[in-house]
Amino acid sequence: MSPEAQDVCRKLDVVNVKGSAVPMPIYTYDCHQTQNFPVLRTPKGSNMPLIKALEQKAKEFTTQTWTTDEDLVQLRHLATREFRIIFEKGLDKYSSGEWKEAKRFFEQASRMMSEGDNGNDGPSETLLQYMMNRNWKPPRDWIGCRPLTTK
Amino acid sequence: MFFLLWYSLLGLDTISDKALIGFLKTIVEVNRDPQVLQYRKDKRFLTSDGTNFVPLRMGFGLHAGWAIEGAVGSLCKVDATYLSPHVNMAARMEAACRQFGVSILMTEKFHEVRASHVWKCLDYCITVILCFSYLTTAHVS
Repeated sequence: MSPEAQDVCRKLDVVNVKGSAVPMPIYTYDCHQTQNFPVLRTPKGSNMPLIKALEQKAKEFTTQTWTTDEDLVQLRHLATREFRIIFEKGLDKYSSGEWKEAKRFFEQASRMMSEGDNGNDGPSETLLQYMMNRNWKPPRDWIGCRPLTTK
Repeated sequence: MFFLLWYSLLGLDTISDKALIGFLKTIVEVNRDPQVLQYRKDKRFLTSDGTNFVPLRMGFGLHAGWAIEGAVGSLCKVDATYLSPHVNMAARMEAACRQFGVSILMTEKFHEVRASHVWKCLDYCITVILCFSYLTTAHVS
């Protein structure tokens, strides 16, 4: 992806997928879905049909779109710079095996997210749960990556 | 190097940007389209205490890699199928969305994909096509 797009994605974890020995970092784009999105309209002063206007907008894609498109910006508005810095710090501590420190950061990140009325932050809670199940002590052979188990 | 420049001019550098935007727009549309939102008025979608609706949520997994495409099924229904370990990886990501409580999960391969990688993939494709045409000509002669 373009650097602009990489900037708006959040690194969540490093996982080991079953059947592959290579640790795989995974990313997400934060989506706040419990909000109202404005109804689609053609731009002011244009008499194009909506579908044509949308097609043209898609054609005019540049990497600037990541910061100018209303939908994309509105979707990620809860993942503020402060929130992402805190989460990143937590992830750093988590991968280096300092789980007690990581706990503090992830709890703070989750709280910041819940202030935006979106419930807690799923990824923070997932990692907190994982660490809690291991009594906040990383395994002896911890290399900063955990096996991905899907229920 | 010339090819890299050419491909980045063609816009292949943002090929995965567009894939991601496609899914993000889908997520927005699921929460905007009046026809889709009709389900919220249906009594069967209310939570057990009857005050709120169960929201419609979708999860997507994104990964980059090669796959083989082929038609399976019958003449009445031709079905395009994509097979490869990478398709499985994308499916795993999609399944893991629920665990993380997010709508979209991307692997690093997808996050890092650039024109150079696309070019490499095309390179493989061309090699395969060349091998294939070599085999067919060999067969004919």
